[in-house]
Amino acid sequence: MIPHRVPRVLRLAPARLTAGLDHCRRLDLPAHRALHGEPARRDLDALIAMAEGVDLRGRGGAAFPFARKLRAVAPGERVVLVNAVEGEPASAKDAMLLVRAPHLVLDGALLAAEALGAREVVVAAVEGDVAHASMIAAMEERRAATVSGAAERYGGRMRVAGLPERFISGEGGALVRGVNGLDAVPAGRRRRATEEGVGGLPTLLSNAETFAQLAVLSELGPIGYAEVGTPREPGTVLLTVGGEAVVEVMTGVPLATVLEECGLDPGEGVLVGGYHGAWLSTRAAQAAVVSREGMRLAGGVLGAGIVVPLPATTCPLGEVARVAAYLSAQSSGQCGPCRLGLPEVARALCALAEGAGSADEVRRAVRTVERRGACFHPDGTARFVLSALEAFAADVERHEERGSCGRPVRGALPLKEAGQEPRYRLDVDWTRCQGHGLCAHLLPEFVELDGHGYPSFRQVPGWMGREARRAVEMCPALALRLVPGQ
Amino acid sequence: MLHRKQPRHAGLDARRLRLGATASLTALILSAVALARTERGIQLLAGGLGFLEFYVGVFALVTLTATVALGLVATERVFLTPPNRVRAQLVHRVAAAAGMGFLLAHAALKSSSLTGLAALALFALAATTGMARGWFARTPRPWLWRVLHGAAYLAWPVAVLHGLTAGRTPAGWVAWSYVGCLAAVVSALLVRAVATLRRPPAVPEAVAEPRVGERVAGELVVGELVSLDDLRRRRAG
Repeated sequence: MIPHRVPRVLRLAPARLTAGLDHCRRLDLPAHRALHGEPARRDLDALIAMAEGVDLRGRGGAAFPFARKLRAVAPGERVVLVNAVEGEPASAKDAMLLVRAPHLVLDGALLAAEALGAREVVVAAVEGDVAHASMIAAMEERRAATVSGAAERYGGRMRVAGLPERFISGEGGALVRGVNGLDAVPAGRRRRATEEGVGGLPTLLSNAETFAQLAVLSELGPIGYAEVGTPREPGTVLLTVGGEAVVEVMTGVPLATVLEECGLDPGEGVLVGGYHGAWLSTRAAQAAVVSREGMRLAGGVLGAGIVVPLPATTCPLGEVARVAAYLSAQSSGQCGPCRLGLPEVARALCALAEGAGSADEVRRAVRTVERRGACFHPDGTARFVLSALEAFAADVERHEERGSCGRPVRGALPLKEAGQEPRYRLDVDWTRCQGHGLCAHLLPEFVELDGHGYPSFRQVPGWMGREARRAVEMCPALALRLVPGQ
Repeated sequence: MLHRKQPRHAGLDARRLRLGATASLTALILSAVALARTERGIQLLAGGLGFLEFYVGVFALVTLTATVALGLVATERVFLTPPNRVRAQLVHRVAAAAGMGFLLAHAALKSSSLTGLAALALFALAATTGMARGWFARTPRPWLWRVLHGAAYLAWPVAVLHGLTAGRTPAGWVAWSYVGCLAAVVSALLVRAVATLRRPPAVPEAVAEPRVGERVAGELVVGELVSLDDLRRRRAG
């Protein structure tokens, strides 16, 4: 398959994960093999030694040492699960890998699967996304290559699992539940995927970039891999800058250089680590260096490599309030403090942005959600909000004193459409409608009668479904139907 | 704009409703148990059963009569305003549910009779179609619903007949009330049928259009124009 539109790729490093993408929208199997060659077979000990040699960490945000994960899974009846579900609206790197270089991710996953003797490789992607389709196509290419005689050594099964797009579906526990056919929400009691994952089997679960890095590591060897980057965190990382451009950067490069490469400047401040990450003030951003340590020293987190600078033309608090409202809507609603507390935080922030609230109120609201949930969602949101209050302290003061900073909210931070509730449309058979007008009495907000007594309808939100159904049932002419709206 | 309701303390989750329902259910169960424990209580229960056996048929007939009348009133736009028609429909449903409950109890307690069974079958048909009204609205044949639900108009006279003839002889005023109800519903139905039949077909109102034939473009009379050639000839001379 050749995707129609693909994420933009830039580079501040020798080409590794993004090799060959300058001229090609997507690397199919022959192109991938021409670039990276046939992957060498590695046994588990060799793989662990290599991962330890360069301190390969998970790239999904938690930065768990990959070698320890490999060791914890140990060979046997195992499953390898690739996490390419990016709930973060500001992240695009995993989708980019799946869309443009799916075979690199597969190579890494198969390498681990071979070493573990795993019986299945599962790639979890957002259902219906281009990344989902591209990974399915990549697996088809591999199967076709096997049929036509080219050597595909891995004998186990491969499949793509489609998950609904939500902010929290990318969380490890939610992902495993989703792949197992349950609701993709975080589990109440944490279970390690390495002990009980897909189908109850010990599962090697890691992020798509981690597996791509593993393939590159196996190709270059630890010494070759560590030729670039800082000594403590060698190699490259993928950053998603401004929500769309994916940049392959060697560690140790200043953040300002990365922004410059993308044609951006730090503006009012820079968000690092995504919507569960932290805001860096302009000053801190100027001094920050791309690496886990560098980000920590600057007061942020590298997380999944998300970098979003905030332009100086927009109201920072308004932007933060928008994201907080989005995050509160993304709560799965399982844990009370999160379900009820996050909207409270969002409301307090909105009030502050409108000049009616105070930073203390926001802090008070944040305190009720911190460390009170099954997953990291409340804590991540708390970190995001608190760091914003700190990074935009001057702005907060202006809002508290004057009510506004004088700038409009431009919507600079990328947000995905919050999972829309079903909407209904009342469909009327005009040949049957007699203009009795009962529907207008039952749904006064959504049905209007014209001068002749005939109704015109507005879309009915999902939570008014019962009332709409009653209107359908009570129509004396049996002229109404309820159909899904747009 | 309308705001979403908080669903957590609505419906059965509302405190008072929940407390009330739990308390009354408890009281009901406890009183039944308490009654069953004593000699006198068993006598009372038997008395209650006897009362039901004696009166539940009457209750059924009265509620179903009300149901039929309410249904008829709710469909017609001449009797009630739209808000009241909605209310009438709701009461119609409640009465129908209660009536069917009484009817089933009555059928379970009494030995069967032919007219009774016929009425029961027809009422059951009317009740099921009534519950499935939303489904019929989606199908291309809504008239099927009217025909099937109209079974109630057959069931009811049969039920009245059964009520007046089977079992004990009714008091005069009871019989006359039923006859009155029958007469009222039949006449309302007749008027409805005649009104429907006599209603002229709904056609758009004729609008008087501007008259043709006035003077346009000088001396030219459009009404007389035959062809383009004609027009040229006239212009030329």
